[in-house]
Amino acid sequence: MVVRGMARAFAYPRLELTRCSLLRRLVKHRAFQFMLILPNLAVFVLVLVAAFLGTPVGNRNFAIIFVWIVWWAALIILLIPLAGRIWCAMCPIPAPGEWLQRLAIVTRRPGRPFTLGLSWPRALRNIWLQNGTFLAVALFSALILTRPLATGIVLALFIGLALLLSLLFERRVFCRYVCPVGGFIGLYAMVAPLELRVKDPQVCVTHKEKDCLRGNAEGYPCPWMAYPGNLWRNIDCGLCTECLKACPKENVGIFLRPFGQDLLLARAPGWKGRSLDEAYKAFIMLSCALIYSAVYIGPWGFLKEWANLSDPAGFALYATGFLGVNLIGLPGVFLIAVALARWIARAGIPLRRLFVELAYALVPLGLTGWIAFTLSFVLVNISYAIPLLSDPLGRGWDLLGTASHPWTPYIPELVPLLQLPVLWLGLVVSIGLAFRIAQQNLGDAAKARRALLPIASFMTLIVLLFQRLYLG
Amino acid sequence: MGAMKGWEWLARGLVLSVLVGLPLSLWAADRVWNGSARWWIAQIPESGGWQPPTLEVQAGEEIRLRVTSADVVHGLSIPGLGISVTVEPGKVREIRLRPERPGRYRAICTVVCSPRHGEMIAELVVRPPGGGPIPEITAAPDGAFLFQTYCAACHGPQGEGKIGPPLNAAGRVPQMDEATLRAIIRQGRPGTAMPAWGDRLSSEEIEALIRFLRELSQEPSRP
Repeated sequence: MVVRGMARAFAYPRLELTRCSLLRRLVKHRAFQFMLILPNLAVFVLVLVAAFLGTPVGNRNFAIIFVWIVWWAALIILLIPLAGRIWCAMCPIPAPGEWLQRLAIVTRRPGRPFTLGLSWPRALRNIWLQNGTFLAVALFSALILTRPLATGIVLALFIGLALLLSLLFERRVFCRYVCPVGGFIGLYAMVAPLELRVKDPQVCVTHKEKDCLRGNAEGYPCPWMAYPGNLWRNIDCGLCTECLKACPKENVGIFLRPFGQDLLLARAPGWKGRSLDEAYKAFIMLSCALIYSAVYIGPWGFLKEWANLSDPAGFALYATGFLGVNLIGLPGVFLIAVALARWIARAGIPLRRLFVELAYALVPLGLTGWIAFTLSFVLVNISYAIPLLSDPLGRGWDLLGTASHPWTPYIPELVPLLQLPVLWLGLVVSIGLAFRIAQQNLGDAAKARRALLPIASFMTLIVLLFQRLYLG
Repeated sequence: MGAMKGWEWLARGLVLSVLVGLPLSLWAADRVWNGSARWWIAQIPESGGWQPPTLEVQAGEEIRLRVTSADVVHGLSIPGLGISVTVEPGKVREIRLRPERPGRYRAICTVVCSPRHGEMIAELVVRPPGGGPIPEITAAPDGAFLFQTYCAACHGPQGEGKIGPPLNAAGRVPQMDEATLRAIIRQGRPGTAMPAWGDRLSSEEIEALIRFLRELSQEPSRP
């Protein structure tokens, strides 16, 4: 079952899960994605009803607890690290737009889609817009994460925007280029040990019809506008399985693989290589994990007040600091570390190139930073979900008899013991990845080792900062 | 192809159920749990105070009054009906009452909830069964109840002092004449947290409160 080294791009062991006939039949079924989306759509509707009509008290409202604690924890601790973009496959937000575009929910309807079908502007075919939308949401997180109405408005805006874009543009441009959540899921999905890929790229080269791109009676053309024959990284694939359905050569599968393979990829056919927009996504995510840890867990109550918009001048200061750290502060310090690395290694590679390349080494550290941050509140607050099963809107119901279940923090004393290994694991993996990337760019191991010193120091400093915030 | 058509219709039915049926089910569940219950939602005056500011009911009608707080801990007191409960954020407190006497009953917050706590005032209007004018309530006010309702949050339940000064024997009430006490209650103490109660308490209520303060300040201090 293990397929080794099919082509240069798959020079790692892979286990094809879709060789299991039951799983293959399931994912090839046209209702597969719908079956994933439907339960989430139901939860999403409940979230919107609770957000707009339920109690404004955050910890008594389904929208706040189930989105920002239950869903978030499941996403960041389980779904992304283990299954990459699997959430994108089951996300209900783009579904109404896509169904409208196709004028069908499950079936493959032939003919023109219901959309103006505009092409997404070339200048925006990157994740800069997603970086911007994420920063915009993250800046107001103290409001959005605690006020049901704010959560409802943001989610309603997402679904409205996704619907509008699907009517104007071809396929899923919202998911691919706009969604603030999809942006970071894509980045961190590159760590995951699950991938949808072609089995043999050579088959795609010789197959002229390109059903995966054009669609056929079995499947729609790739909604993510990817060509599976040149699909090397999880960031570009929403796991919708349309290509798997459409491929007449049965050349697409879902594979298990070692963690983080996409981050090791230096070049591949049809891929322009590591880019500044994705590098910045890595900085933004790492900065936000640090800032959130400081604001929500740190001892500085005034920061929380500022972030909460309780004082306009304070919020202006917070916003300046927040954007400054995200866009200039952390990338700036990293740039200094990279310049030092370049000088120590006497490397001829342009500074900007090395800066972008090495920024990808921050991805594992960023992900573990987010997992550690999430651990800080999920075990303490998850019990809020129990009464909400009986009273999702905070209207005094008791459907399942759990409405008066008290708030119960679970093993709070063990949280730091979980956070520290996670952070240090991220550090070790990131340093290892930085070495591999340095080696790719500098040519030999000795230079890479020398270049590693300032980069590893930067990463260690970040982990020590997290540690200081979590342990006090 | 026929099988797929079946799937398509099933999917459409399921989506419709979720988009329409689920909100309807939630509405129905709310009808079952809350039925004809009347709601009072407390929030600090800066966010709007009691919502709604006025509740109207019929005399003799049994009411399920559900009270909740949208922000911090509040207290609901309706002195004229002998109701006093604590209201915690997000928790729903149900009070069953059957007000027999028509009139306008003042409802206030008994927990210091914000700098403008004194403005947390609402009204329960009990209408006569056959309609007609709403009579004024003329029963003699109870000074002890008024104290617990309006004063105890700051001055302590025994008048021992909290964020406000003591009003028992240890305080300065024994040295004050009635005119001074009346003026302080009516106009408040500018520059302190003591609000002006003149527009919220009637003259009879203020006099009843002064009588109670006199009794309280003559008793030996209680711990």
